[in-house]
Parts: sequence; structure tokens; C-alpha cells
Amino acid sequence: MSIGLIILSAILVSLAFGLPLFVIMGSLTAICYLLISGETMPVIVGDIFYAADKEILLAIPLFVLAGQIMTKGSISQRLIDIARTATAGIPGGMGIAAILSCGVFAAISGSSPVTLIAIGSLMYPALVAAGYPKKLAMGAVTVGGTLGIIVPPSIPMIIFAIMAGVSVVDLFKAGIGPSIVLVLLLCGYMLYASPKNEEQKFSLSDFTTAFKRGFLSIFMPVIILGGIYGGFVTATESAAIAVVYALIVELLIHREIKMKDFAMVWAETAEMLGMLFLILVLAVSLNKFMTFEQIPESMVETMSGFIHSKLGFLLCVNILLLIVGCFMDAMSAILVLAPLLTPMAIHYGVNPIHFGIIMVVNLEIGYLTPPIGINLFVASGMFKVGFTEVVKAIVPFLFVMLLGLAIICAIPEISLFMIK
Amino acid sequence: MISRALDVLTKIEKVIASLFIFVLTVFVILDVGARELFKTGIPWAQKGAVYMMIWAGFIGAILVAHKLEHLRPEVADKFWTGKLKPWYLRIQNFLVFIFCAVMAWYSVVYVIESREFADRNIIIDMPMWILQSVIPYCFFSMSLRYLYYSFSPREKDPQAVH
Repeated sequence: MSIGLIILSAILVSLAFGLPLFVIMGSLTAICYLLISGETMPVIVGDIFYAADKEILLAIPLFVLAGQIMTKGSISQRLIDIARTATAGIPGGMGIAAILSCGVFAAISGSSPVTLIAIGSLMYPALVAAGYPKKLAMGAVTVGGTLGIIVPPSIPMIIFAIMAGVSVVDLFKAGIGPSIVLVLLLCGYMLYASPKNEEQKFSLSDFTTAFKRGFLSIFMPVIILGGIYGGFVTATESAAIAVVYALIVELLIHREIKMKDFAMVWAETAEMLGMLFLILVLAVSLNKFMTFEQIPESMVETMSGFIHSKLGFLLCVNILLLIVGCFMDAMSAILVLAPLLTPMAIHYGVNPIHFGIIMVVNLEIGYLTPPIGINLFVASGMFKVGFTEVVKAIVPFLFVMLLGLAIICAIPEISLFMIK
Repeated sequence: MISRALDVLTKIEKVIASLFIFVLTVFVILDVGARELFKTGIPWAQKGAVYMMIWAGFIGAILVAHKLEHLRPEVADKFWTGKLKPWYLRIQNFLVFIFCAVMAWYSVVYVIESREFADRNIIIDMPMWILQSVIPYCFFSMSLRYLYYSFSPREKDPQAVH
């Protein structure tokens, strides 16, 4: 039996029995090391340990922890209050407030489903009560929730940086432009589709009151991103600062976090880390093998026989990633595909940072596409509506997101304008 | 009985993982603070934090295995329904058990070799095998869960969000 056939059989058996990704990665790594490189199993274990021994990985638990601490209090209500009072008086203002709240909350929590739950549980009833059609309200918060992975700091971006060997700080910088584009497009759609019967008038005193209550929450992304963009701190340092800030705000100022919740954040952070960790170290080990065997280079060579232009590559890669996003979650897809596709992107003249952003936006859309769109499942459970109904609700928003993806792909400067 | 024993073990592992996350956070904060205030960091803090993270990550993986929440392609779930479903879960968990058991075995071999070579980390002045011993423990502890679940099939909580 040829090695290729063994690898294919292992993948098919894994998919047929729904095995965890760490088992798939581990099996592939073992097959490659044992049968191709002639290494032994203990060498693979050693590889796993040294793949984990990287200081940049510290940013992951620290950003997760900061998000966990901040989101245990009533930050979502504070953000919504600011966004609602700021957009009061604008036709469709409450819909815009939902998108803006999602965008800011996403920057703090770093998680798309958590953003959907935190903002959606408060905003959806409020939108419906204000006369918004249920479909539109559901679509807005479900899609707004996906901003969690594109608005920096984002864990998928850190994973991409590790797998593709690019700077995390540069990726975070590159994420800001596309985030603004997507938020503006979604706000524009809400402006167009919302009922024009906004009764609330803008009140400076209401806005000031809401701002006073919530500005410390808004300030967190400013501190994180300001430090990174200013070049004062590294990704890990900014994550540490974010944790300190979150602790001060939630424990000493807001004082809304319960002791039980505070004790839980450490365990929840360990679980989030544990979910990524095994896959990540096995993927890094497999990546090391592929680099050593020059597999990405030979793939580039093969692909260049079929695809002759940058445009052709971008079209193919976007279609591939959109399909992958339907079946895999963002983290898994990045771990598997980033080391293979990034060398191809570079070969076709696509900046690797820009490519990282393209990949993340594609996989963000994957949160909304059946059969494995996480946000669709969360929305279906949370709003107690059928899965198909949620899918129908997000269709117009999906087109808006695809338009955003096209703009982000076509104009690299949106992603790269902050990178020297 | 077995289920309760695994629950107790999980609680202990949860406390240990939480402590590692707490201590690594303190280490990084102290290091960043020292660098900003005194222009020099704490030499062992970053490396110490990395090893804490490795331990927390591997023990976190056990906690996730206990809840059956490890990321996996769920496409096949739709095809295994009715009476086939428990058998699907049994085979799935048993295959994962085999993988974890094999990894646990070879991790023990690796750690023993590392001990024989007397590798040390010079920054934190500690034998490497102690730092590496979390790998066999992680796979061993996960294999216990998956073996149990292959006899007593169950699925992850559908309300779980990650």
C-alpha cells in the first residue's frame, strides 16, 4: 500500500467516525514521520513539546483570560447603552447600535459565539420590541457576532501568525481596516433595511450618562490596540496589560463580577487553551515535517501549472475557503490550511499579512454557512427558532459580508495601510 | 462509580490548571511590569510562564476531553442516527482511546529517555523530564475518559459554546 493511500484512508476513517481534530492531526503526523522520514514515535513526542515551547503562545491564554474577566460583568449592557444613545434619532439607529455593540464587544471577548450570546440576548428582544422584523433582528445580531474573529485582538489571527510564520502585531494592525469596512457595510445595510420609525431622539445627557458608565469597557480595546499600533508593546505584553486592565475594571471599579464567576474564569481559560493546544502543537509538528520535505514548495510548483495569475489564485482560494468554512471551524481550517496556502499566496504576489486577513474573513463567513456554521446553531438555540429560519434570516447579510470580502481582497491597502 | 471517580479527578485537574493559568499570568505581568518600571525584566519569568502554559494547555485538553468538547468534523454525525448512533459513539471514543493510549506509552518512553540524557533547562534550572512529564499524564488521563466513554457512550452537551 502506498503512503498516499494510507494517509487518504486515515483521513477518510477519521471523517467517517467524526474523530477529534487532534487525533487526525496526530495520526497524520505519526504516519508522515514514521513512514516518510523514518523517525520514531518518541521523536514526535519531543517535537510536540518543543512546538509548545514558544513565548508567542502566551498571548493566547492571556487574551482569552482578559476577555473572560471583562465579559463576566455587565459590560454588554454598558456597550449597548453607549451605542443606543449615540445612534438615537438616526432611522435604523437601534439596528446600527446592535452592529456597533457587536464590533466593540468582539474586540474585548475575541469570540464570535460569545459576542452573539452577550449582545444578542439583550439586543434581539429590544430590536423586536422596537418594531424590527424578527428576521432582520436575528440576522443582525447573528452576523454581528461573527466580527469576533476579525476585530483584533483575535485568537485565529495569532494562530495564523504562528502557522504562517508572520508577525502577530502586523496581523492585528492589518485587521483594523477590514473590521471597519465590514462594520460600515453591515451598518449601511441596517440603515437601508430597518423600519424608519425610530421614536427615540438623540439626547446629549443620555449619551454622556451612558458613556460615563461604559467608557472603561470601550477603553480596553483602545489600550490593547493603541499599545500595539504605537509599537510600544508586543502581542504578549499587550495581552498582559489587557488582563491587568480587566482585573482593575471588573474587580475595583465596576465590581459586578461574582466571586464564583471570578474563580471560574481561570478554569474556563484553561479549557479554551486546552481545546486549541493539542491541535496547535500537533499542527506545528506536522508543519515542520512538511517544510523539511518541501511539500509547500512542490504544491506551489504543481499549482502554478494550473493557475497563472494572482486574480485566478485569489478566486480559487476564496472559493476553497468558503467551502472549507461550511464544514470546518475557523481554528481548525487555519491550522490545516495556513501552512499550505501561504507559500502559494506569496508565490502569486499576495502579501502574507493580507492573505491572513483574507483567510480570516472567509472563515468568519464560515460561522454563518450551513451545515457547520457555529453562530447559526447558537442563534437557533438562543432565539428558540428553527435552524432553517436562522439561515433565511442571515441570507441578505451573507451577501453584504461577501461584498466586504470582495472589497478586502481587491484593495490590499485596506489591510496593509498601517504596516510599514 | 467510574463516572464519579473521573468527575473527582476532573475537579482536581481543574484546580491545578486554574492555578497554572493564575501563576503564568502573574509571571508575565511581573515581567512586563519590571521591564516597564526598572528597564529590566525578570530573567526566568517568561520561560517559567511558557512552561506553566504548557502544563495548563495539556491539562486543559483533559478537561475538554472530559466534556467531549474537542474540535472535530461533525459532518458524519448526520449519517449515524437511531440504533447506529450509540455504536458510532462507541467506535469513535474507542479509536480516540487507542490514539491516546499509544501516545501515552511513547510519551513515557520519551520522558524516560530525557531523564537518562539528564537534559536541563538552564533558565529555570530544572530537569526537562519534569517539565515534559505532563505529556504522558495528559494522554493517559484522556485515554481513561475515552475508554470509559467507549463503554458508556455519550455526546457533548449541545448547549456548549466554544
